[in-house]
Formats: sequence, structure tokens, C-alpha cells
Amino acid sequence: MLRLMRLIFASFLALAPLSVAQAQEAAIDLGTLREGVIEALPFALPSFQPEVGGSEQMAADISRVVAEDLAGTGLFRQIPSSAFISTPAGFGSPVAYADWRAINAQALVTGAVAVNGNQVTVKFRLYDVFSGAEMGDGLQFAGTTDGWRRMAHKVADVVYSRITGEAGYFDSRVVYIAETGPKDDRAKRVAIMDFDGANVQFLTDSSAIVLAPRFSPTGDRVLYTSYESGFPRINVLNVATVQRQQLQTAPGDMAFSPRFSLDGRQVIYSLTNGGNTDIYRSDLASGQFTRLTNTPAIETAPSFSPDGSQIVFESDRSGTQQLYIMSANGGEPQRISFGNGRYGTPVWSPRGDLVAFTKQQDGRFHIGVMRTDGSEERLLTASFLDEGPTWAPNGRVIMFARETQGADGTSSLYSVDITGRNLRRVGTPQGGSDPSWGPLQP
Amino acid sequence: MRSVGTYISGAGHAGLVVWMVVGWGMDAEPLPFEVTEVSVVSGEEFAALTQGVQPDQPVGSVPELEQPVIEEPEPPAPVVETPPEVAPPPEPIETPAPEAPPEAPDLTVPETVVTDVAPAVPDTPTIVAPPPSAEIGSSLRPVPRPAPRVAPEIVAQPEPDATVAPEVTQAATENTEAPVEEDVDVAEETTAPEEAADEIVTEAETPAFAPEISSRPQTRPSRPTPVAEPEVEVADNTGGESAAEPDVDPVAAALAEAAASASADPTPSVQGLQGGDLSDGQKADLRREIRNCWSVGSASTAALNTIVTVEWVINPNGSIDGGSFEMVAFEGGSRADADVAYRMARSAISRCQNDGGRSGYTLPADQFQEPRRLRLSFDPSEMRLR
Repeated sequence: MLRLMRLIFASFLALAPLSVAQAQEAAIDLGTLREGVIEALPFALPSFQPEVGGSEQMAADISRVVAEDLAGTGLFRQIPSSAFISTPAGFGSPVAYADWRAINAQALVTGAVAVNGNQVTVKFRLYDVFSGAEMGDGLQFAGTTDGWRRMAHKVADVVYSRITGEAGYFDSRVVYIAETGPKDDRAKRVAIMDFDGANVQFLTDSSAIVLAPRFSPTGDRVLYTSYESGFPRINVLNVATVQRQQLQTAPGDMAFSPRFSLDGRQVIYSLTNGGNTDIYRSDLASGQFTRLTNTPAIETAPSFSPDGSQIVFESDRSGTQQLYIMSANGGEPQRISFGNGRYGTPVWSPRGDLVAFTKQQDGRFHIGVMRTDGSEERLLTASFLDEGPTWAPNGRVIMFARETQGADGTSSLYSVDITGRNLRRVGTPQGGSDPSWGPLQP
Repeated sequence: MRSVGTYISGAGHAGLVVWMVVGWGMDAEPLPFEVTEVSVVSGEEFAALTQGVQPDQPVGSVPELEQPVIEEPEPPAPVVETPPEVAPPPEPIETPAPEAPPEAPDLTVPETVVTDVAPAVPDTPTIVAPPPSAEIGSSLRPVPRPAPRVAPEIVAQPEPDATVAPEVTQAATENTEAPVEEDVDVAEETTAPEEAADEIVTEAETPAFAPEISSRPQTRPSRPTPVAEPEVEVADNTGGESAAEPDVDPVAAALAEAAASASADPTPSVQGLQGGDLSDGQKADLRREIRNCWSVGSASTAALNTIVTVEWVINPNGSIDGGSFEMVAFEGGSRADADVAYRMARSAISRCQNDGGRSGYTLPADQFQEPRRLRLSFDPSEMRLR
């Protein structure tokens, strides 16, 4: 027995040097790097090559829109073509990675465009310059020449997604209130545009005051508040036909601040009845409604969570305007905002992790985000008047309205990354307010 | 039998009842209270009030109120003003036509067909393995023109301090009779070398290969592992069957075998394991160099919550073996998030070897005589909200 134990012990000792040797063969551990730099990723995008005659202008336009989409995010920086050492001989030609490394391009986008009649074909490839490999397969889009901007947005979406790892948002649209005229006599119309302010089209006339348009989850309908009858009422508008009808709500004096449910079959809104404002939910098909809150306080601006199980809204039941979360079927809400100032217009992020809001504090307005439990509140903007945030479909960017001070102040649309960087004005032809970002188009 | 107490109690209770019935000593007069008189309005008066008719009031003389005397100066004579010219009536303005509601815009989404595969071969040549850059005539980074490295005067070749033993290469064949070629380093050089100096540096130039980071004290070399001498026990001749075999202690034998195996393999591994570990300062230097190139500005928010651990091989000249990258671990995110974080980490390591125009990382020569494998974890969580 003793001999057996000595044998086992000897085996253990014999293996010990081997393990030491294996440890020595392991890599040298440099530790953990926790600090880096936050810089836009430099990319090169040589103008897409026209594959057939007459495609030159279209190729240049599509290249420009793709580059503008990427650079507009603030996450990428376009390297000017004047810095290029070489350009691809043709679409699909071998890539001279060293030339692109020399100008510190980390990503390279090449493409080609072919126009045949009213049909246009766009194809592209994306390369990781420093690894010397292509990122994903090449893609090709085909459509009509009228939709060339959409094809450019789709190319940019794919490039964005492959580099950042999250979905893009370029091929999406925004409904908003187009404003013209002085502040005291401002004409307002519901309008729709591309995310970058292009292709603006009006959906209503300016005969009545309209407010707060909200896209349906599929982007085919829009809810908005209209004073056509003298009192605020909620209308449902079909985007394709521009046909509208008044939403059948619970009986009350005023109905406003509507939003679609996740499946688009229900609408939550605020209803004022006898001087008391509460939140209701109505079924679009049957017209049946449910009262979700019942307090003397003013409760409004409801917004569904992405899974449809909860609602975030604003209420002054505590004495000041604060944010609350409750079940989608009503019940006792839980307050989530506890900072100084007043909180309003909460909107749940498409990812479900954050709530965007408008905050008024010390005479300034802010657009901010916080976690759904109220933690990690961050204010992204500050100005005379910022309000009405709406989320990009990927939950990375927030669009809102900013109004300048004074009698001749104007309202414009702005966008900002959720990190607080890259504040940009959206180039609408008129003033704008109350934006609502639609889904990514199929 | 009744006690005296019973009689006393009965008498007391009877007296109490009689007193409450008779009420001796109780005052029947009510307490005084205040009475407020109210005026009574008759039915006629109430009807008159509600109809807005004043009821009949007693006629009385109303004293005249004394009005204050106000001395007002005489107002100045009004100045005749020239009547303003009457402007001609404005021309009638055409009433703007009521704004017609916009016609339904053409909001049909243009049809877009997405092909998830690469275009056809005639249109898109397949790029499976692009040829190396040199083969396609890439214009590499401009290389400075070599300086004429000729010494101004011919310097005689110094005498070698010691004779270099020729390195003998023995053929790995069993035929020992065959002549074995010997590679002998020829140290003879009869002519002056063309480039007798390493480089010529003018006053305007600065040495291009000066270290950018001050060297840190190196770690003390680790003690050599003591090798245990195998102890061989003397065979016990007095033993019976075991006398034929030497009774070797298995522990000692195992130690001896392990020591022998460890010392019998002098060939270094691929990673090169000579020189020991790096000091904390040397590791910090390498991290500092990589830090300047590690950009997470284009990472998704999910990737910013993902920690990846990367290993790669670095050559003694500081260059990176581009094919040696490997993500050995990740945490905090999905595989897709880790791939994004890994790509950014790999890009940082690759780009930084040429950062600032240099060619390779600055390495301590003692520890990097052969290619070595390094490991570094990238944790961007603290930069998420920056």
C-alpha cells in the first residue's frame, strides 16, 4: 500500500515540470487595456464605377449619398479622394491593400452602377483594409431610377451594419410637422421625408392645426392630433392613399398624444374629460376602450415598451411632472425619474433598454436618456427649447425639435447620437417639429 | 341570618332612591343663553328682491355731498392741425384662393430587389484571394532614399579578436563515409566595403531609429530551476528476489526522468520562450503603444460592453505576424458583438506597428530574441459613456 502511494506521488511530481513548461509556452499576458481613443473610423469610397454608358451621373450620386450617410453618423470619416494613392481598376479588381493602409483607410467600399432605361443596378463590396480581407459577400440591388436614393441608403445600411455590428437606419422615413410662417401665425402640416430630410411630401393641408404625428410600427399609417373640429381629436392617416379618419376614442373633451401599440391594432392616448386627463387604450377595429389611469393628476404622453408589456408616461401626481412606468393593462405605476426639473414626452427605445425624454431645468430644455429603472440619466442636449425625442429604428440615434428664442424664432429638426456626440441639424426645406421616426423599410 | 351591614346597605340604597325621586337640592331653572334677533323678510319683500324691484324705502332727505373744488386752468386754444391727406383707397386685393389640400403624393416605395449573393461572374469577378499587393504593382509607402554610406577614408579591416569556429553542418545521413561539406564562414575581406558606416546623419537630421519610449528596468532573470540529482539507492544484496533488480525509489526516478526530459529538449517552441516574462513597466509600454491606435468610435453599444482577449505573435523586430491573431476569450456580449470588438482590437494592434512612421513596436531586445506570443484583453466599458 505504501508502495502504491509513493508511486502515485511520484507520478504527480513527474507531471509537475510538464505543466510548468506548458505555462511557460503560454503567451505573455500584457494585462487589460481599458483606455483607447474615440475617433471616427476612416473609410475610403472611390466613386462607384459606371458599368454602362449613361450611368456616370447616377454612379456619382449614389456614391455621394452612401458617403454622406456613413459620414453623417459621426462614426465614420471619409478620406478625400485627393488622398488616394490608387483607385481600383474595376469593380472586383484585386485590391491594393497597401495603398489604402498607407492613407490609414480602415474600410474600403467599392461599387459599380448600371442604368438601363428606368432600371438601375447597384453592386458593392466592403473590405477590411488592415486584415486584408473582404467583410462579407458582395451585394447587388436592383430597382427603378426613381428609387436610386433608397438603393444608396441600403448600401450604406449594409456597410454600417457590417462595421459596427448593429443595424442601420438610413433606409427609413420620418413624419413630422412642417412649419411655415411667423410664430403667432404658423401654418402646420403633417409631412413625411427620408431620414436625411430629402423627399419631403405633405400629407395634410394647413387648414387646421395638427400636432404630434406618430408612425405605425410598419410605417403604413400615421396617427396625429388635429384641431379640425375646434377640439383636439386623433386621426388615423393612411400614408399610401392619404385617406384619414377620426379615431373612435372614449367620450371626452379632448383626445391627444396618441401612439400605436406594437402590433398596430391598438392606440394609447390621453383623454381629457371634465378637466381630468388620463391615459386610455382603444382597439382600432372594435373601438372598445380601456381606461388605464384614474387619478386627478394630468397623465399623458404614453409610450409602449418594445415588447408591448409596459407603458411609460408622464404625470404630475407627485406635484411635478415626472416619468412613470406601469403595466400595459394599467395598475399602479412606478416612478422612474427623480432628478431636479420636470420630465416629459418619454419614448421607449426600440432596444428596450433606455427611455428618451425631454427635461426642463433652470430655464433650459434638454433631451436625455435614462435606463428604464431611472438610473444612468444622461442629458444629451441643452438649448432654449429642445423637445419631442424620437428613436431611430436601431436605437442608436435620437431626432428631436429645437426652437430658437425670440419672436421670429424657428423650429428645426436635429439628431444626436445617444452618446451625446454628433449633434446635427436635419436639412428640411421648412421648419419642423414633432418628429416620429419610422421603421427600417423592407 | 342577616348581618348589621346588610341593614345599613339597604337603608343607604333606600335613601338614595328617595333622594333621586324627590330631587332635593336640584335647581330646575335652565341656564341663561343669548338670543339674537333676526330681521324677518316678508313674502312680498322677498318677491320684490328676486324680481329686481327695490322695496319701498322710507322717504328721507339725502344730504348733499360736498364736492371738492378743483381749480382747472383754462385749456389752451386748440391748434388747428392740417387735416391729413386722405390716402387713395387701396386697390382691392384679390382674395387668396383657399388652399387646396395636397393631392395624394406618390408615396409608393420603389421596388428594390436585394440579391444576397455576389453579382454574376461576368459583371463581378470573384475575389476570393486577391494577390499580394506587390504583385499588382502597389505603390507602397515611399521609402527614404538610402544615404551613401561610404566612409571618407578607407579604414583597414581590424584584426579579428578571435577566430570564429566554423559552423559545421553534418548531413543527417547514416553514411558517415560520404564527405561532409562544411560551411565555413569566410571572414576574409580584402577590399574596403562600399558602405563602411552604418549611416550618415547630417546636422539637420535626427536619428530615425531612436527609441521613442524610455526603457524600463528589466526584471531580474529567474533563478534556474534546481535539478534534483537522482539518488540511486544501493542495492540491498541481502534481498531475495529483488536482489536481481536494483530497488530504485520511484519518487527519485520520476524526478530524474522529469529533469531529464526538461533538459533534453533544447529546441525552443514556436513562440520562443527565452528571456523570461516582461516587467510591469514593459507591459505598460506595450499597452500604451496600442492604446493610441485602439479606436472604438465606430463600435456598437453592445460591442462597447464586450471584453475580448486577443493573442498574437510579435517578431523580434517589433513587427506583427498578421496571421497569428486569435480571439481566445470574450465576455459581456454576443458572438457578433465580440467579433466587432475583436476586429477593432486586431486593427489597433496591426496599425500601431506603423504608427507615426515607425516600423514595428519598441521591444526590449533581451526578451524578444525570437518571436513571442502576446496576450491582451480589451475592455471598452469605461469608454462607453465618454
